[in-house]
Amino acid sequence: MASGSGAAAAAADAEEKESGSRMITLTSNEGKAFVVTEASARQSATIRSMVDDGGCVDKGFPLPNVDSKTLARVIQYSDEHGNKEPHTVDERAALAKFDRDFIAELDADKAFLYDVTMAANYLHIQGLLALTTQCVADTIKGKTPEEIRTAFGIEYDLTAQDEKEIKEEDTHA
Amino acid sequence: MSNHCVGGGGGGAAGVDDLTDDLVAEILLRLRPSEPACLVRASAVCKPWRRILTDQAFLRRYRDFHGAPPLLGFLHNVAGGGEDRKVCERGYFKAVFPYTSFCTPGVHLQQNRVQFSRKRLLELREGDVAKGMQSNGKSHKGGQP
Repeated sequence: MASGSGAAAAAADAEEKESGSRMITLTSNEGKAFVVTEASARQSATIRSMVDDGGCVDKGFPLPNVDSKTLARVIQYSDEHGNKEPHTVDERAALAKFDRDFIAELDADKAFLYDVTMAANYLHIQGLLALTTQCVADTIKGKTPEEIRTAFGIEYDLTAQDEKEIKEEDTHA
Repeated sequence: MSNHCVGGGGGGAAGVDDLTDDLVAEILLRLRPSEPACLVRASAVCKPWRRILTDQAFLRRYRDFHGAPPLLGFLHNVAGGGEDRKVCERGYFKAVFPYTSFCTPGVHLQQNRVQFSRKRLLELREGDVAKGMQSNGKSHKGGQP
């Protein structure tokens, strides 16, 4: 951050604010601090609104619902999408490839995928939320209800009446 | 949300039932409409999923999210004439075009081949198969999809 006194510091701060190059500290629920660019942090609508409302940018933002491992992964996504603005076809393709690789890696560890999904929801990072929820939705594809319950560790709690209604709907699907 | 960090270190502690209803809705919203049976199966998973999937607000959102269901094809009769007309009125139609293989110009071309000028062909959409033909405000149920 800008150091020194008076007008010079204020001007430097204003310039950084203008260009979005300020650094923002995000702190996980384990107390680990992650310093990110404002452009990266602004991928999160939650943080964006706090920054725009004149929130405590210097003090940083504690994120009591996000652990360090999850936050690191979320920041990896936000850095890629926040710090680079794809202009060319190649750049857009590179970003799309990043998304594919990013989600493929998460898909291999479902518990972690859910953690990142919840963090994306909490932080309102729409692009990341769309990516992770689509991945979970695609997992459901082609599975029977029993297989879905097994895959997601869900307990069966439907009544006989529910079952009957579902059977009727199934004949129309 | 409050306890999701518990499973954050891995070890399989987090599961879909750690997700809030809102988040489950976000996931179910993305079930692809090209596989309508998927929605029915998902509604047979558990009560919370069923509640979400049968909620009118969710269904409206689902339609908005995915747009109109893909056009599967439509019913037509290429031969025309008396006997075929009877067949049509009984509700047996043959040609339904796979939605993957035609485009808008093709649709017009096929519509021109329909022999019954007073009848208007309705679109045939996934999940709403075989609504059939309409004549003077009366609907005929379509046959084979």
